[in-house]
Amino acid sequence: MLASIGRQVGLFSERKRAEDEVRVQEHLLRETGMIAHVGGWDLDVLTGHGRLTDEVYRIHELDQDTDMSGEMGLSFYPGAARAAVEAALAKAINEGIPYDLELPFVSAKGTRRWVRTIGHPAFKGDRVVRLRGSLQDITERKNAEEAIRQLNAQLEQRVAERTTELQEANKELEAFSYSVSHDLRAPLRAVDGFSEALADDFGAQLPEDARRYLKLIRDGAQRMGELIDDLLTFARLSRQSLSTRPVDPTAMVRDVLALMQDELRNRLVDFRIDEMPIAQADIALFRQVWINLVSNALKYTRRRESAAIHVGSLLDASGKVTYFVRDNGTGFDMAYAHKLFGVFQRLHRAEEFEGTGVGLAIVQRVIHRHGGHVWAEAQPNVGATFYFQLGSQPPPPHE
Amino acid sequence: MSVRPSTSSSVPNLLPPMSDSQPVEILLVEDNPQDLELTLRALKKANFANHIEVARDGAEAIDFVFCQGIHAKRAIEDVPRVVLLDLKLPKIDGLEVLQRIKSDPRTRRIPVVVLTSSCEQRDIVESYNLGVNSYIVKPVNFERFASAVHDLGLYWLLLNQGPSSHT
Repeated sequence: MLASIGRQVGLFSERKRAEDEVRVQEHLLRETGMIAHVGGWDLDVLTGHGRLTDEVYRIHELDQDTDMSGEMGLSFYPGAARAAVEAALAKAINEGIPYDLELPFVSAKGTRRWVRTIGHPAFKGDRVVRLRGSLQDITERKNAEEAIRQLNAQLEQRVAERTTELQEANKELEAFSYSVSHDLRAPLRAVDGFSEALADDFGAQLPEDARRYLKLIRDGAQRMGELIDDLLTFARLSRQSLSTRPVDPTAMVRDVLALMQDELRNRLVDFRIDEMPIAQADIALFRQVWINLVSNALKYTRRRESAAIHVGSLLDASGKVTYFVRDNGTGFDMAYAHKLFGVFQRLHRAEEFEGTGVGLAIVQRVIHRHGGHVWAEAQPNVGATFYFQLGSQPPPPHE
Repeated sequence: MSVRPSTSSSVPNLLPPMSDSQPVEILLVEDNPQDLELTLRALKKANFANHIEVARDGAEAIDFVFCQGIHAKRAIEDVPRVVLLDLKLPKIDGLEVLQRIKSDPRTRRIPVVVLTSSCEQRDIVESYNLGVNSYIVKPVNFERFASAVHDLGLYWLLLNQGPSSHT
């Protein structure tokens, strides 16, 4: 008698433990469902009887235990979404094909939502007897996606507008430089030409001062012509598209030096060119940089009995290459270093060293367009060194 | 040297008009009066050309080359030995004059030298596309300009061998 009671108690507490375990599991599932906005549902295909978890009711904004018929279930999907669900259900039930759809949804209280509805058929033999699935509220994610889509569209719009603006500006600049190159030169030619004609035809009859004035007039016209040319070059470089490829700086500097034979004749110049690593640059623009830097070095060492110019490169720990042009020329005061690269800025008197002050501005413009930077160090009467780096991320070719 | 300037000209008339029987060596097409005077001066300095015809715009140039208008009495076989052509011209512009000369079988062998202020690539490219023989950018400095004109004359009138105009 006691034994059977004992067994009953044992069975009872085992059953209690099992029930507790079930309760804990249920609770866990419910919590999880709430956190993830996922509800589960179960449909007996034969009886049409369905079961829904609390979260499903919450998504529908219906009271728990509201009786949900198939027809009613479909009514929460607006327009084409409803047809999609119907079709998916039919396919699942009749052909046993599971579905996973993201659809617009309207709750019982009229709240517009987005849901993900998943259905998996369960078979008995080859017949579908149950349909099980989940329903998830994905409204937040959908809204975020929409926001990104809108931002992207706005961004595209803004880029298109800016591009148009830039193209307009470029076209204006082109028209401007075109008219400068033609229209400004003609009157200059007249000034120069007729001063020359005056000096030629009547010079003999003119006093010394008059002839000197005429020469100054011609010098002025000449200089203005040079300024126009340099400005035009500068403008052209700004709008020219960059087309980069591997370039050998060492060979390029040798070529550039060959161009300057006139300057080198009758001078004692010790010109040293180190082997430099291949660079990624626009050939024509890169050449202009070397031309300007080398001709500057030659110009500012003119007063030296024996000029020494060294072109080479340095490699730092991170593999970055710095090119340099070093000379033992007249140098400059570092206090004015910040003015070096300004357009028309000069650090020396015109009567000491000729120049328009655009050469270094051009160098800087080209280097910047390659994503790099240029700087210089010098000491008056000792010499100067110009350094530059090209961008670590070279601009893509045919920019 | 004799110069026959065309109708409206602020350029001094250097000599009385020549008879039509004298062959034209240079057709100078230039609208700017100062540039015109300087070019003529440079040509004179270089001792070139016995007969220069001046056209002050594209229409006059076309009339001359194709024997139309006031030049109707000319024979089209009497081609100039070289045409010095400015690009920016009123009425018909330089490139169109070039195009017409180079596309007509009767005139396309005439050497045309563009002499212009413009150093714009598009003008240079277009001129060569149309068959220009040479493209010279007028320097600002007169000495260099005179030297360029001298070189041009030397080349096209003395050095270069053209086809004979009468086959």
